[in-house]
Amino acid sequence: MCSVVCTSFRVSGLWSLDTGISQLSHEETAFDRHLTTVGKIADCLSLMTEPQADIITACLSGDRSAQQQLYELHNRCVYRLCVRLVGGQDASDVTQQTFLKVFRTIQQFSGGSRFETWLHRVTVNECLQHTRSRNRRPEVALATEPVAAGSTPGAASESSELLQAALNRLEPDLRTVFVLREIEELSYADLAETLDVSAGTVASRLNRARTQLRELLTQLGWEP
Amino acid sequence: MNCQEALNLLSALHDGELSPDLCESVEQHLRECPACAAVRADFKTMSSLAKDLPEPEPPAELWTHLLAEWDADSSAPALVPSNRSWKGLFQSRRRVLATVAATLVTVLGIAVIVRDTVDHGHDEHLTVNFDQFLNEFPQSPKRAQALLHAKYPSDLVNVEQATREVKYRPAVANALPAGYALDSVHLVRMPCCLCVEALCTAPDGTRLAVLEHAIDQPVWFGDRPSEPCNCNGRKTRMVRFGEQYAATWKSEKRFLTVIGIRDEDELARLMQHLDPPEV
Repeated sequence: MCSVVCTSFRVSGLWSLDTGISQLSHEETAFDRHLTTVGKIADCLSLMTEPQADIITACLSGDRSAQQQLYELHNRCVYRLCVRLVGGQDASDVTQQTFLKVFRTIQQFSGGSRFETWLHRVTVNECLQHTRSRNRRPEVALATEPVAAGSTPGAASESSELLQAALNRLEPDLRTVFVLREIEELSYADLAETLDVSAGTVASRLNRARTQLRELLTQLGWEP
Repeated sequence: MNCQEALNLLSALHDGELSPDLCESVEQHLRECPACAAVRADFKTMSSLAKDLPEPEPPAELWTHLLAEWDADSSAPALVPSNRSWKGLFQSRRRVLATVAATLVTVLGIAVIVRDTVDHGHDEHLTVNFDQFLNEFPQSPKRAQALLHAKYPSDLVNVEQATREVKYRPAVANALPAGYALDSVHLVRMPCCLCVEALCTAPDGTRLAVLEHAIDQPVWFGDRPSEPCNCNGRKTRMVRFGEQYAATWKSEKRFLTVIGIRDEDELARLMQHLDPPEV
């Protein structure tokens, strides 16, 4: 864990992990070393330039006001992503699960990537997990979610409603890559890091997503 | 550049991810091909539509609900005043370690039960999905492949991309026997692992599939009868479906399954090339 944490930080002149480890007393227990590592994560984060580094550091110790600040900073983005990936009906539940996961596992954020990238990854994983469990219950599949109150996808007149209806019918992996690119405006590099795939896979998935989305939109009566 | 080549690159062109040379080649094609140009225009419109989607507003009570859930969650660390150090949480190490040990025992017990239940569910799905795949394969390997890809997320890749993703050199990267050709390579996210699935054409024009996977998967063949055989000195399991066979054997660290072979001789030839014995 130590090497992951410190080699991944890109702040020059940062605390040297190797030196830090060599200074550890041999009498120290593994538990002490774990505590030291946690402390060093906090130290490293405190050197980050983003204001939220302090917030993340405080979240490491379970500080509730810091957790609330982190929530305030990111809840719109997480909720928006959940609405697009699992639909409005379940977005609140999945947003809640996402933040609980973040609070529980924030020590796993190594600082090697931007916090937003890590948060996107947690959110996407929660959404995919939710979709998989929902797909085992076909009566509540996403494609059946109404586009808007009182309307059906076929009768949707607004293009944006048609787009959401078509997105709901897209395979989860393709929906995810399209939403992250077109709505969250992630670069191919960030997409690759978030989805843990190569840039080539990002490109091929995006091409399939757009092609299939265009076909679905046409089936729903879209006239560009 | 033909239409298919241009269509494969349209998305990357739209995102400005192509090299200048490739970009110019696609643009040249678009100037001459109204059909492909229309697809590109639709991609642009779809981007605008996506950006125009209304911004959803998180419910005001979401934080309150989250907090209640967090407080009720026994796995959450005790909430402490922000000026208390992290180290302070662990002053009573013995008590914490005892709690962790007890929790681990409980979690492991639950995990075993859940794993058995989930595995059973996966197995049933796998058997049904592979039964469809095997039934379709003799008539149309491509349709069978499409059925499989409809069930499990897949990506079309080349051998180099596959190597990067799975972090080993797939067996189909080796030279195939004379007359055999590699048609396509996909990475398929199966429940067992990220599986390398290749479609090849035999000299007589028939197709066969080669799957490389981390775990032995007899479940793929359900209750079809299988026969053990010793092929090239390797313990192999052969399963008949229709007039064709599937065969699985253990390679060094993984398992290889070839689907669509005619007989043991063809299997031996393929095995010799896909998984040559170490010298």
